[in-house]
Amino acid sequence: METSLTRRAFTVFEDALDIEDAGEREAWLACTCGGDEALLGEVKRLLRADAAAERAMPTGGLQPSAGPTPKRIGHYRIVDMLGQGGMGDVYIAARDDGLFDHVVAIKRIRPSLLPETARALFDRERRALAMLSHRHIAQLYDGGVDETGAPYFIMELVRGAPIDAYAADRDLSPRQIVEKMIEVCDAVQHAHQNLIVHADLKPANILVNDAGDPKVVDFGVARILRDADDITLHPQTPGYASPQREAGASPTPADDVFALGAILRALLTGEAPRGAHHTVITSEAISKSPAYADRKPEWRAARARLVHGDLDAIVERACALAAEDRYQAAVALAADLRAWLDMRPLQGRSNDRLYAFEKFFRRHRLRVIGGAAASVSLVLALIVTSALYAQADFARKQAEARFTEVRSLAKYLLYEVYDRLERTPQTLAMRRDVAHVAQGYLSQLADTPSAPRDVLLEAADGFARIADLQAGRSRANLGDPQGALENLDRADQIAAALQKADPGNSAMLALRARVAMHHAAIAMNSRQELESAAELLTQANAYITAIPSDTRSARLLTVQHDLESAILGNWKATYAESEIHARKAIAIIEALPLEPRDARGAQYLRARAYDALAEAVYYGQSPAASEPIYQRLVDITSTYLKAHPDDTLGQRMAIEAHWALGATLLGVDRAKDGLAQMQAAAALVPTLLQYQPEDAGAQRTQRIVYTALAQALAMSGRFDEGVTLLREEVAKSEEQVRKTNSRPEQVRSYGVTLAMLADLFADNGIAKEACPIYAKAERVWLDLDKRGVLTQLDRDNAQKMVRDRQQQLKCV
Amino acid sequence: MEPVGQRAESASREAVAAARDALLRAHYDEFRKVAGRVLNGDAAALQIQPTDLAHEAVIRLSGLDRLDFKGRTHFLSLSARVMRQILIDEIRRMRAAKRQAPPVATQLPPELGAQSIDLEDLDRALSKLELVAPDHARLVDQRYFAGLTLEEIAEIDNVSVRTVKRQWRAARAWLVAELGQR
Repeated sequence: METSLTRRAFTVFEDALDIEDAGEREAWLACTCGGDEALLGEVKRLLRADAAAERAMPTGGLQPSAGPTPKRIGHYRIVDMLGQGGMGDVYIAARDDGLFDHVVAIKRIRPSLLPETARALFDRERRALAMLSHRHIAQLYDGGVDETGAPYFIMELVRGAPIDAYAADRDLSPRQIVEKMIEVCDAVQHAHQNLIVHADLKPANILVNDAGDPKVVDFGVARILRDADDITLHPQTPGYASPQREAGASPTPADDVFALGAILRALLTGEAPRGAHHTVITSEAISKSPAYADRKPEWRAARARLVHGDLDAIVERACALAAEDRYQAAVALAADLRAWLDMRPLQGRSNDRLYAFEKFFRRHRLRVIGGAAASVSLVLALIVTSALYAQADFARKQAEARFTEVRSLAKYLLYEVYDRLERTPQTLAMRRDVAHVAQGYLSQLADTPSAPRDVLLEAADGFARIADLQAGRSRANLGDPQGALENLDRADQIAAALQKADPGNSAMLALRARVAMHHAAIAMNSRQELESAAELLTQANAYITAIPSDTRSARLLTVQHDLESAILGNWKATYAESEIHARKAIAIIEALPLEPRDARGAQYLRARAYDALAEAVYYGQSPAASEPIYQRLVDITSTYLKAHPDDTLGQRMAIEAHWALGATLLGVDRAKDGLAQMQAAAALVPTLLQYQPEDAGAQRTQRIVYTALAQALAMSGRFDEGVTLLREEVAKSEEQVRKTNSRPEQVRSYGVTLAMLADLFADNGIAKEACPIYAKAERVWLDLDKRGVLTQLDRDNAQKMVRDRQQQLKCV
Repeated sequence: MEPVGQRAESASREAVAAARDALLRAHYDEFRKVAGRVLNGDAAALQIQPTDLAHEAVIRLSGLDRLDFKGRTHFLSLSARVMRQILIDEIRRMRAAKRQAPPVATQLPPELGAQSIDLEDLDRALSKLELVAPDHARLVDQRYFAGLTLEEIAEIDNVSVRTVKRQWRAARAWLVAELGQR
């Protein structure tokens, strides 16, 4: 019945969409539905919902909506219009909230260019772009969506001219043009290293200010719009777009390199590219350029002569049709341009015959290798090689260059980029991408048949590093223990193969030891395979003992081995053994001089060793005996946090240390001291939440700490304050339920908080207060159950506990 | 439509279904792995967009660069429904495995109210729609779980963009009404 109603309603609804006039539509509907009130009602309900959805974001395509100039956008007052373009309008705006004086440019995108699905993308990209900071990139400050639904960017206002107009007005020489382009290349390289592609580089997007500084504008904006769009509304400007982009491929760094080459050519020849790929080499184009038609023939010939050869070759390479024939990175293009600058006779010395002669020879060499230069180091290396040698060795060098690049890229991504992202909140998706890309590079390295030993070892090291990112304990890892195990196996296979040829190699042994220990940690902590963990640790120990013991790396490995053994002992309840290992680890690490570079990792190892020791003593001897150890742990973590207040790992370690010490003190009837520790833990929680607002783990920490604090208050005779604290938590949680329209997880959290409050009363013998709150909590679980969203786990634990306690207290 | 045409159409539908089944049999485990990876990312990130899964799956399964544009959209279209199923299965599995696993939320596009909702709620609504209007439900899967545009869908299904747009508006209106009721 309902089935056919919905289906019929869909048919009527879809036809009704064709009738635009509201009155006409009404009449048509009445007629079509022919007195079927249910059908008419359903169609009208759909039409209302459709109207709401259309208001939020029209389905239709382009609606050129020039619209009136807005008075304000965000905190900014619009001062003037800078320009109008295909994407939208650009304004000059001033901040006028009295906080500070700030004049900016605001680019407002037509709402129709950013359809419904793209909002999240827009926000994500905008945040990434705001992190780009470079002298030659116009800084993006902020962005958002204004009240009409138009997205906007707020950026640095560059007062200047597009680079082509600037070059023409000031009659820049090739040398001056090359100088400017090197700066532009540096800016583009910086963006690429931050995983951002410009995707629409052209002279109009490179402004030169009055001081002569080029500034690249609109970084990544084209990409946002392109990805957002159903149809490609903004293909890159013809002539600056690579063949791949023209064919509709997603933008890559290689496309930016192409555009840089095309811009260089346009500046040298004085004319914009005409559509497709150029067919005339740059120096010839200069002689024929209409832009230079009124110049003297000698001027044109001199300019062409200067460009002929090296600069021609550089442009051709940058603009190669196949992406793999191009410079592999903007930095490589910049390197060749720098080399060209360096080898040109300087203006002031052009009469010095001997100097010019020498330069000539060096220039000649550059021409031979010009095409092969793919990285800065290679350029430098080859400059000292003879021309002949370079020619004969061309192919090999080229392969090596690519190889070198892959190596350095993998390293760069895995260490620098990843570490930086890790310290930035909410970068999970980017971190996952980085690890993924690096994994690809490493596989490429490891699979290269002729790879030398040091490269293979480096690849194995890289795999171990990825495993650490996937499941390492010292970080907010990617949570992929399975992937980590695969990478550990891969690392070990490579290392094992290498070791056959060189059994005593320390680097190899150290790597295998690390791999085995990480494997053991995953085995015991995520899979509870204690026996295989023990075997792996024995294996690791064999590797470590084969390394000369006086090295720093051997000592750190020993510390780690003892630590993992202590943790294993705690799992197996062999506490005496565990204590010995933990003490040994602590003794070694405290004797090590701490270099700043290793401080973070070493401090973390030390804190974990104390934690393992305290746990072994707590269970193996007595809670009271563990107290001074927990005290020491608190000291260590607090000192570390003071030195690194922004480190979320440090924040967590400190919170956990305070909590553990507090819980221990409460257990030995030292309520007052315990309370102080819980208060210290609670004081750190807001900072952690500020750094990781969406982190479920941080929220859980908060709940655990607040409950413990309430208990501690009650045990110190400040029962009322404990109650007040939890009542506040209940009220906050209730507010969340209301705000989210009873979203299940908020309702669940409300139930848990209620039960915490009831527990507090019950533990202190006040059944009269506890019972009604338990009853309320029980209603919450029942409600979730009725909605079909109560998990089995909550049914078995939370719900059951509430019932049991009501029985114990004999609530009615 | 003539009977002959109908037969031809159903025959080609069967062929498509067979191709899809083969594809999914081959890749089901891989999909699950990807879904698990998406979900287990951080304790932090339990707000996800379903298209994350689709795109990651494409990249991992076939190497985006080796698939041409058409191949990619076809692949996504075929697996849209399965993407949803796997994502929901993984969410349930994760919830059973982890003690305090919160629901997995997703951010709806503005036209659907721009709110953050539980993915399982969305799944329930779509399953309901599937019963009454399977074509419309499929459209939402293609658009939302596979991230295809209306134009791409029209091309794959060999219907006019206008038809797809009308159906999309109907499906969307129904979803807005349905989700708004909660």
